[in-house]
Amino acid sequence: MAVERSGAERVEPLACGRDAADVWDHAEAGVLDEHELTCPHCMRAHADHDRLGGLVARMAAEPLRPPPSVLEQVMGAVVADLRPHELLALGPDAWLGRPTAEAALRHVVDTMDGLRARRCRIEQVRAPDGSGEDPAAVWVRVTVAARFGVDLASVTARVRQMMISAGDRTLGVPIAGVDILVEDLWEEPE
Amino acid sequence: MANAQVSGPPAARPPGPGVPSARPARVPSRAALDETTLVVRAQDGDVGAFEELARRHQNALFRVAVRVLGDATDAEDALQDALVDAWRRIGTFRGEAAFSTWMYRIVTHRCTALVRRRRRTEPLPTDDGPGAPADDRSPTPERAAEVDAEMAALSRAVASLPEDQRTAWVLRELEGLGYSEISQITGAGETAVRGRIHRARGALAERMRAWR
Repeated sequence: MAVERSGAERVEPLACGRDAADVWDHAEAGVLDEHELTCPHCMRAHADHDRLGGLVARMAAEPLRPPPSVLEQVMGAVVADLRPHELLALGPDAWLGRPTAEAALRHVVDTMDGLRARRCRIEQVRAPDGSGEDPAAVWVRVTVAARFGVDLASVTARVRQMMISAGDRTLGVPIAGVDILVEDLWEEPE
Repeated sequence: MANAQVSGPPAARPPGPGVPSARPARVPSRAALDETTLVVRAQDGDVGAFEELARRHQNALFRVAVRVLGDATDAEDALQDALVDAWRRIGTFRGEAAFSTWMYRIVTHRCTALVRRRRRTEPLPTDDGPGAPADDRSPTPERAAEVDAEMAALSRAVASLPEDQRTAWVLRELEGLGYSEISQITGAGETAVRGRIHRARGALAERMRAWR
């Protein structure tokens, strides 16, 4: 949260009463007014801007980039930092990592023109008797962003069907139901 | 109707001319995804989405770290720590500010902590800082050498600013951020931010007078 401190950090006005920071900003934007162009106090202030301007622009343009090893190390740490995967039961002695299944179902959404997946949550529907002989069905809740103008009823119905198919064919997990929430729209063409 | 039987992978179906909204599409690469989608996916635990966010922002964050710390190696450490921290805390990002503002805040906090730790053990570097590459477009070797010397002098002058002034000045003058955004990043009020930047400009102009 921004904290305002005492007047010690304020910009002292110039002898002519103008705010020196304003004069600098005006010089930077090339919008000095008549007073600022002729007042000796303001002229001194924007002369400082002119003195530094080129060098600062040159410094800002320097191509500083981190070596690729930084991102590699970050992602190594990120992967190592992942919580132990929650598991979906596929059957006796067989499990599927929940993040993997969720990523696969997000991918199904992404294959649809005009939709992009956001959150995906998979909850396993446990058998009431806890027998666990067969793979337990799951319920999927996915949020998506859609391109403005897309037929949402049609495209979400299609996604639902494709997800159910992917659950059976690709993941080996029967999908009992799919809830789709369209939470955002975008307008730019693909 | 688009919800007919789907028997194969979506890409195998030719796009139907009559149903543009439901035709299978090429899966967009992560680089083509909008930032909000990437953030939500990263919050959902999607490592690949976070990697794309890190890739998009790392250069700007590194530039700030180099200029605030005056040392490229320290800047690499600060950037690395900041990105790992961002991953751990991304669930707390609520979108009140831009994601870039949130990331700038994390990296500047890392830099501030590093500067304070360093201040307890050694003085701020006053050498040539990260250095300035030669300008190939310079008309003469003499002019190139002069520009290099000027840039080195400016780097020294920036490194000698108080840390709070230096951070605000870098965000404003080198990254082009507004006072309000710098206020959100640093936690100082806008009046204080303007004051810090103004004092930094004055100090730098004073120190660079000898070069003009």
